[in-house]
Amino acid sequence: MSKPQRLILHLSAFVLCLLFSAALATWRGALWPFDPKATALMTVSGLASVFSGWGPVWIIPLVLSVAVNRMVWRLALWIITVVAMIGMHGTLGPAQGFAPLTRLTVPSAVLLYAVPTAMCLLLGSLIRLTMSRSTEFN
Amino acid sequence: MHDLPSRRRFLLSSAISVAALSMPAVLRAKTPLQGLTFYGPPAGPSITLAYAVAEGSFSDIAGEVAFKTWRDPDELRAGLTSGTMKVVIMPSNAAANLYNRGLGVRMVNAMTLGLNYIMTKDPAIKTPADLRGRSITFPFRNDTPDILLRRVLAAADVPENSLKIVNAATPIEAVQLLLSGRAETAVLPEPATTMAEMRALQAGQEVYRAINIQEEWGKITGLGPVAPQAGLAVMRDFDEANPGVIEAIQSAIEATLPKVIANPMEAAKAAANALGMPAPILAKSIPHSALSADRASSLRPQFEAMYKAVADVEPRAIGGQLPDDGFYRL
Repeated sequence: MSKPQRLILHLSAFVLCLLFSAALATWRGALWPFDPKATALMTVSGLASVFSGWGPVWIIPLVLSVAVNRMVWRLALWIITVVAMIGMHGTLGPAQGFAPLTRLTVPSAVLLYAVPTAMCLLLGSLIRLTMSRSTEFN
Repeated sequence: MHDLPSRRRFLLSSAISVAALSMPAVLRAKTPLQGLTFYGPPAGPSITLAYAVAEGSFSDIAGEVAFKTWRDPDELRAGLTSGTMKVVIMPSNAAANLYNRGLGVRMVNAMTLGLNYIMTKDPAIKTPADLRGRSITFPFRNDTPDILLRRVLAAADVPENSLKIVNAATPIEAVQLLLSGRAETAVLPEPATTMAEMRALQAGQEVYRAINIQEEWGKITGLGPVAPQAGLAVMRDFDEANPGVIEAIQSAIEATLPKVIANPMEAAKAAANALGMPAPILAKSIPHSALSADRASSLRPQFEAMYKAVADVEPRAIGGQLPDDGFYRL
């Protein structure tokens, strides 16, 4: 696959993540009657809060994603990172302003971290791709 | 043409008068107006009116009816003084102020009985006494909610200087300060309160409506959980030139309010464009906005209790004195 094709694939995956996040925000927040403005506001606000809430912690999965060169490893990294984020939420979350895991529940926490983690890893993969010299993917 | 005998003429005119008085207010209005534009803030108190306009509830009163928002107090003041705004939802304090300064603004009703809450992420905060030593953010310092809260704090024996004030320019900024943890509590009006809850939910956070300011205020006044902060006001020249129109408008609003409360989603959908606010936020805020259509004179003790509290802090805010009988149009 050529580098431009891979770039397009990454951007498409990124857009899919945003769309999935918007669908989740609409469903989770019961944003009815449907209003794109409200959905966009809540999606952006939710993602921004999760990213800013953990701040520099996101650098770790980002760097790991840049470091690995196989998509299957990134998939494994996605699962590991989501589990790690939930673990951190359970221990340090309330101090960071998040609801205690006992109140948030684990399934809600999975939904909370799955998309931001995927976006973080996609960004790492994109950075690796743009840094690579070859125009062809090995 | 024969002149009717005076007794018969008297009976006939009496019968016509009785029939006219028994007709709905809308039919007593003079000829329908060509156009009628309502104005209101892009906030909770305007939902009922915006919905009524969207539903065509004023079609018997005027040919073309519109609802427009005013964005800040300067725009409101300019609209009233220039004569552009004739029927407008406005803060009760501002109405009293302009009435006492001779502008001819009269209060028709209260469109809300109070929609301010103290929000927090800390479930331990439940009463005004729990605010001691906490940080708090206000969108509008020295405005009615701030003044009422000062009274509530004084009643709970919480000195104001025991609170750490975090200034916010707008309700949205106050929401941000609360969610980011830079303020432990926030005094917020609807629909910002609902927005805070919804944004917290999306971010894996929890915020609580810890204190209902209206309820605390009601405990002090003994007049119930009522703070009629905003209502419909009419300019005297419009009112005098169009007899019966204000009564008809009030009747239409009274008929619309139960529909808004019964079906917030539909009301929010209809009002969202006019108010420039997302429909889901409006829909969720309606049950917490204490929407009202109560006539101003029926709430006079509650208006006056609020005005007295404001005047104690800043007499000029209501024009230096309590408004007299003429202020309460209905």
